[in-house]
Amino acid sequence: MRSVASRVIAASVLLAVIFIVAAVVAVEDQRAVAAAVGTMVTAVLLAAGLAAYLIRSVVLRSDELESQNAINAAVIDAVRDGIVLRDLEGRVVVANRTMDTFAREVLGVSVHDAGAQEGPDEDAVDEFEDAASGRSFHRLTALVRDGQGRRIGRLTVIREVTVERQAERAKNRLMANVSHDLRTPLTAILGFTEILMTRTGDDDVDKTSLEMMHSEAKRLSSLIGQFVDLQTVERGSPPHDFAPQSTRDGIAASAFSALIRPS
Amino acid sequence: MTKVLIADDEPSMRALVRMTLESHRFEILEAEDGEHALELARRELPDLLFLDWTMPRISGLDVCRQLREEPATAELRVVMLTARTQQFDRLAATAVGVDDYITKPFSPLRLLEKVRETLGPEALL
Repeated sequence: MRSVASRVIAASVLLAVIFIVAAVVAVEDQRAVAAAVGTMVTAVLLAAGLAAYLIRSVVLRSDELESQNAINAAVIDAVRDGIVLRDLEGRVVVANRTMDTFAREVLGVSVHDAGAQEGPDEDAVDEFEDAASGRSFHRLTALVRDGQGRRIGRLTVIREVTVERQAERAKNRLMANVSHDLRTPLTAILGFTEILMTRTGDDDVDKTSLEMMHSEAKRLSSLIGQFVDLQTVERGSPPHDFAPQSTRDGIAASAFSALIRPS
Repeated sequence: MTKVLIADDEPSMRALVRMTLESHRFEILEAEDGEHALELARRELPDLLFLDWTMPRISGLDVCRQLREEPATAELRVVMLTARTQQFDRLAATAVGVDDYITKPFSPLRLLEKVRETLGPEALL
């Protein structure tokens, strides 16, 4: 199309020049009719050349647009997030390959046939789980507006986070088990030393040893508590309740640690 | 004599509770899993049941739930003694009807106080 237009332009210009020359020669020879015909033909040819030039630029521009579109499509198709832009009626304006794959896997239809899915009606970031497949998705929703601020559509970007959530759940289970399993032997150590402390007579050595065992076991117990709290806070649920430790115990524990630590 | 049932799969835990209560006049019974705990609770109708949560066969939570469903054991005093410290665990235990919830590690002296609170001072004579 582009080369045809170029040839038409070249031919028109060439012929126009020939006829201009012919018209000039005719005028000099006082052949008015021939001159008039020559001028008219020249005008027509120039108009044809101009038309061909205009067509060529339009074609060039649409070619440019086409390649720009191809670049855009390649870029958004290469992203591992699913991207879809729908207009106010829910029709797909743009969707990438990942979104189409998600739609086919989760909904069983192409993104174009899926129709607008339930989602926030404002700019938002959230997460949802597909109950049937158990897959988790992180979702970003953005309202798209035109230059005048009028709403023209909704952009949705989703990322699969199934593996991340599974790993997190496995870690939480492990944490809960570890904390549970550490507490049981600690309970025995703390409990029996406490019972022995109430029974020992005036033997200072026994008493001091038992007190140290007890305060150190308490410190260990508090460390486990802090460790579990940290995990719980990360997870966003309220920290567990833990028996309050008196300040005296805390001071005794640090004093003891200072004693045994080599200086 | 006041009857106390200790249900815990850890021998050291049963020994600790037994030793805590030893100097007082209690008849102490022990169960090493949930099934045995249910059986003893039904047969012996103890005044107090110390119940671990994580036990083989039947969990402490299910033991309590079943005891509450049966008229003979519905009013039995149940104290959960567990290493599960999360707030929602405590809520789940309350939901099945435990009377009290003590987390491990616990202080034996504190446990004794709890027995006094639950059964009245005469139980500790």
